[in-house]
Amino acid sequence: MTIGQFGGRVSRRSVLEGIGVGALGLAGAALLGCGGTKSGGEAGGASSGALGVNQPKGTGLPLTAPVVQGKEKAGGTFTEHTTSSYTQHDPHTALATNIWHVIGDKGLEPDPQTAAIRPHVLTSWEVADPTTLVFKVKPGIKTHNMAPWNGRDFTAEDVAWNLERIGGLYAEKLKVPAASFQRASMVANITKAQAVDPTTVKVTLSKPNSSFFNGLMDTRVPFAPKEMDDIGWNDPLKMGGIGPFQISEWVKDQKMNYKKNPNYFRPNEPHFDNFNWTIIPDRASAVAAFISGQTNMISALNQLEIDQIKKTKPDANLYAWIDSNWHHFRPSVEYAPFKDIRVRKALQLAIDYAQIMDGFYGSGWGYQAALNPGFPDSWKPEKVKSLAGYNPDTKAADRAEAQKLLTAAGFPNGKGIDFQIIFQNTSGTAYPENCQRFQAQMQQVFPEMKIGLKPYADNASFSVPQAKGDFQMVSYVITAAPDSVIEMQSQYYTGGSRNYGHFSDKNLDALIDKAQVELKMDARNALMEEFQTKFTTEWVPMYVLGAQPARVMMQGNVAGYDTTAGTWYGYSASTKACRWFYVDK
Amino acid sequence: MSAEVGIGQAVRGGGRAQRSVGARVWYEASKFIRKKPLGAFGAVVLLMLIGMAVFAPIITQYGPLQQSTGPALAGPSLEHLAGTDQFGRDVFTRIVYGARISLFISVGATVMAIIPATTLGMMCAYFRGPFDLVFQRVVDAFQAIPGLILLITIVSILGSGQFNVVLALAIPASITGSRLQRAASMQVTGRDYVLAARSLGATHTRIIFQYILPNIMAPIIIVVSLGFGGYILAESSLSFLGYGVPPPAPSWGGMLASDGRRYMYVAPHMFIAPAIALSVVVFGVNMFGDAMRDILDPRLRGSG
Amino acid sequence: MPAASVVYAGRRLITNGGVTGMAKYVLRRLIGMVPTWLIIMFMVVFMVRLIPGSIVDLLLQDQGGGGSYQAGIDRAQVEHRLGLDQPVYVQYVKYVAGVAQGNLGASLWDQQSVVSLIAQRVPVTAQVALVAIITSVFVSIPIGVISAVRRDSPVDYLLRSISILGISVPGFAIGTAIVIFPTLWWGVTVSFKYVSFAEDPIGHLKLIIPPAMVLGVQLSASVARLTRTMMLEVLQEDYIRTARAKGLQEPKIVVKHALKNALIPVVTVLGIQITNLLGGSVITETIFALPGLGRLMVSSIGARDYPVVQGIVVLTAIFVMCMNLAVDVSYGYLDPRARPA
Repeated sequence: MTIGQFGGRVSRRSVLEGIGVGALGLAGAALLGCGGTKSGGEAGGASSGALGVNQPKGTGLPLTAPVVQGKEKAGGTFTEHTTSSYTQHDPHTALATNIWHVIGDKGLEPDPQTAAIRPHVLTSWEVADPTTLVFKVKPGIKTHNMAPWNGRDFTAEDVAWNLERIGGLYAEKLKVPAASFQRASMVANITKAQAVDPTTVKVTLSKPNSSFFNGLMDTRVPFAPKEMDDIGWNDPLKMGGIGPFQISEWVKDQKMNYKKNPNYFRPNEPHFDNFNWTIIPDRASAVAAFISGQTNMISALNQLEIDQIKKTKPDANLYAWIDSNWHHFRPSVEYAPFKDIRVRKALQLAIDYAQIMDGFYGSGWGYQAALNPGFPDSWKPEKVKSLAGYNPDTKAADRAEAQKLLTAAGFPNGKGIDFQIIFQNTSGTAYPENCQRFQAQMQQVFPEMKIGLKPYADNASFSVPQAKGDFQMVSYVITAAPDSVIEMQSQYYTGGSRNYGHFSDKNLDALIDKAQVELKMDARNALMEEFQTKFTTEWVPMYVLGAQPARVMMQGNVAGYDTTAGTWYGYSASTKACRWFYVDK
Repeated sequence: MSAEVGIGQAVRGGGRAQRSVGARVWYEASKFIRKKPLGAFGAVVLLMLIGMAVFAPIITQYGPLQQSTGPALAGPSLEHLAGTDQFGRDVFTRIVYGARISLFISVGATVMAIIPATTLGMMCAYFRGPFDLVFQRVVDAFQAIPGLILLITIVSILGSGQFNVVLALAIPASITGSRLQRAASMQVTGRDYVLAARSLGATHTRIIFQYILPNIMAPIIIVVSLGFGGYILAESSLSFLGYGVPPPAPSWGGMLASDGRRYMYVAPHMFIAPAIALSVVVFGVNMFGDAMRDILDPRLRGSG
Repeated sequence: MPAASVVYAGRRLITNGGVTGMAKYVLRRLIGMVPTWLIIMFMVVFMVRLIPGSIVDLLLQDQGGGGSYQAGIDRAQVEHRLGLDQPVYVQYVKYVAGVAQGNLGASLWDQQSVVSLIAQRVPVTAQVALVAIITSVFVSIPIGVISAVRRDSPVDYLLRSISILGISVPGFAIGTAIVIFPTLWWGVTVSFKYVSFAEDPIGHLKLIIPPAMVLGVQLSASVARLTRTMMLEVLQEDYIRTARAKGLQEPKIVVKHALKNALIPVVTVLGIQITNLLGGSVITETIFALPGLGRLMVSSIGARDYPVVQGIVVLTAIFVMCMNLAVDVSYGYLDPRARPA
């Protein structure tokens, strides 16, 4: 039997997306599907055709997702490695956490390949008026069967509590800085969320927000039962959620083990009984763990590693796509030469993007200009590749043009430009390599430009100059938010929370303001088009090197992964492992 | 004390002997080779290290930071004796230039550690009293904290960079290293000539530097020669944890710990080549240090 | 490390005063440690706070676009909550007072008590260290003895080369080689899934042995080197000559008379090497994915979890100093030379 090939298995998949015993079914999905449009407010389009296809190419991005053949087998333990057990466990304030990716569940779910909104905990979403949103909560969702919840129903009251909490509305009450609510931008402008009845939530906004529904698809804003603030977010073993798995063992720096939440799965559907994380901090050891069969999957592989693993493990399957992480160099406009658009533009034309990305990954990455290619409204890699600067075929001419621009700006051959790039010097990451390739390229094109590298040994020390904007250039990788406007707002808006280079342009700010309140899809898309054009020509606030390839290998006996692979796959296996199972070969 | 014999012979010997200086050196050297073949091997390694550092541009045609000298991650060949790394840089070239960094680190840390260590040790032994008492507690404190942890903390405070790594290696070594110099100085301070100088009204500075210092040269040399390799190793351990000499500098520790380990599955030569370079040098330096110790003071116990 | 002679200097303080004299000596030494503890606590409290990028920076770092960051207000609020708004010397005094009452505080991240965090980790690190020490004793002492007896012979050269090679290869390189090469060649490697001794004794030992080997190799080199030196010295002593003159057989002289005396400083150095083993555990525990003290230390430095870093350093230091004292005391009993009349 072909597993993962959708025919005949549609109902299972839909049920897994909705939670609990098959109340939603196919009908629900069809009713609520909203196709390729990004804004749920425009919902109602009948696009669920995508559900029947194994590899929908909605975003036009390449995807490798082999379908595993074999007889499906229920139960078993899926093991993945992770590098740390994390220090924070409150998903709404944590910098990084992963427990709630497993034990919690999201309001809405993006199609991993097309980013189309799909129902999940919330089964419908509508714009009642521009500042009032109404959501329906899937009935019959059960919390984990542990104290104090003991499998009670998860209702609209819980959802309202989550939305307000994500938005930072409880900051004062909890004595936590509002800034700590890291994901507040996912539900921007929220002022109130209220349970009208057990399955209906009404959200009030201070002004319209065209990103609201997309924001709820972010893996980093899972829902938790509303008692969690009383339980506390420190002891993982006391945490209970609504997700497919619940915590069974948690030992810091050693393991995070989960057992299935029986209420989550429909009878007779294959799934794992246990989902385990073994903590392996060292990358070389983690690869060894996969090759020796101790873990079921390994990600972030480069092409040569894939070739090597295939030699030792011929039956392991490779899944590959372009993901939502994008590599970049961000200049600070506080450094005088970078204030000059001619200088910024010159570097944009001079960088050999392909050499840097190919150098680190070998292949499989995607060109990106302003917005990650996974967004439905963004320029796709092929288009970006044809633009000046990005196009490898016109590199020589572009570099000549760059020379002219720098000379016109008063820096012939780069003379007079002298800056340092800050980065985290973590072994195995792209930062040090990107920096060294960039440095070598610039020295070749602009022999008199001086570029220094300033590494930081850890995230904490790196975070200080980055947050303060105390740098001339920073090398970093950012994971895209699930919506282009949220992304623009934090990266490019004057004073935007991640606008570390202090870029500021009032036309750009006005454009973002407009896009945020624009609920008509066509008009919004037109604004995005304008943004991407001006980003590459007039503004050039940043040098995006490309969107990184995700390359994951799975042991040959794991199936179901093909249905979850894609740009919007999420942060880790944790969110998707509930859809996988073993097969007998 | 044997230092007077060991060093004295070497220094005075040249003038006293009938033979030319060159012949004398050759005689001493051949004796050393015969008596201490492993030490002689160490000396050769040390000379090669210095030679690599000095003549790097002659030994190799590429630059240590020069990218795309050939295909990336290629195995050893005639053009690239130790293969290339992920940037297409020549690994052999980087090892040759890396000798400079290894020397800079080991010599720099040695010098920056031994001078304060000796000064403090002599002062403690000479003045005794409250200063000694308090300072010895500081030494105790430094000795009770695991060295690598202390190093990580100091590098974190100073920030990464080649010089900061040297400084971080030198600071704890200068404190804990003073113990041995203190013990050696203690034996000297009670000697007749020191007491005589004191009674003749020589200044403290004069006594310390003219009477005590020359007589503790043996332990100093032993500590220096035995500690030398330790610094190279310590830098590589720091690199493993991300605190070593930062890229793109061709530090052996960095080549081995970050690049070498990252590409180990696909380009093992990137791991093996710097591992051999580093190990051979540390081995040689240790052998040389052992031989020096045997010659200078066979009774002095070093635990390595 | 030129520690042996230092140790000797301390030994001579021990007076031949019998049990009460020894008790007095121990008491005096313990009191003498107090200033050292204060210095250690001072160093660690100040140093961890000097590292750029505090826990407050980490907590307020923007990763997703909260967007309402009010630098001054938020910072003060977080600092106050964590007790980091007080001057460092006040924090130091409070910490010392806490330690004096046996309270090492709690993690700033998840409020877990530092003592329980450390207690979880100690067994792993201690077992690896113990196995490393045992291995090194069995390997290095024969090497040291043979090397001394056959001084300057090819056997001596070979054995010394082997043992010095052990400290010439970085521990992480040996560890990596142990993990990776079998993977590359045969597709098998060590297990990374930690199991406790109670759950699976054999599986547990399989986890402990590879890192212990890495640390043991390095320890062996130092110990073999010292054993050789000590043996050479002892073999020249008068009583050995007397024994030879009495016509005793050479192996008996070596083992019964010489080795016994030579081993005493060797054991001492093993005690001192504990700090080095802890340092080395940082690396082995990372490569072999062991949940031990070394990794907790490094991750706590990275997370700027000040109380945890402080707790590990302070407890380690106390342990090391007490070990040294214990070694000194036992030394007084073992070696008549250390008890001048």
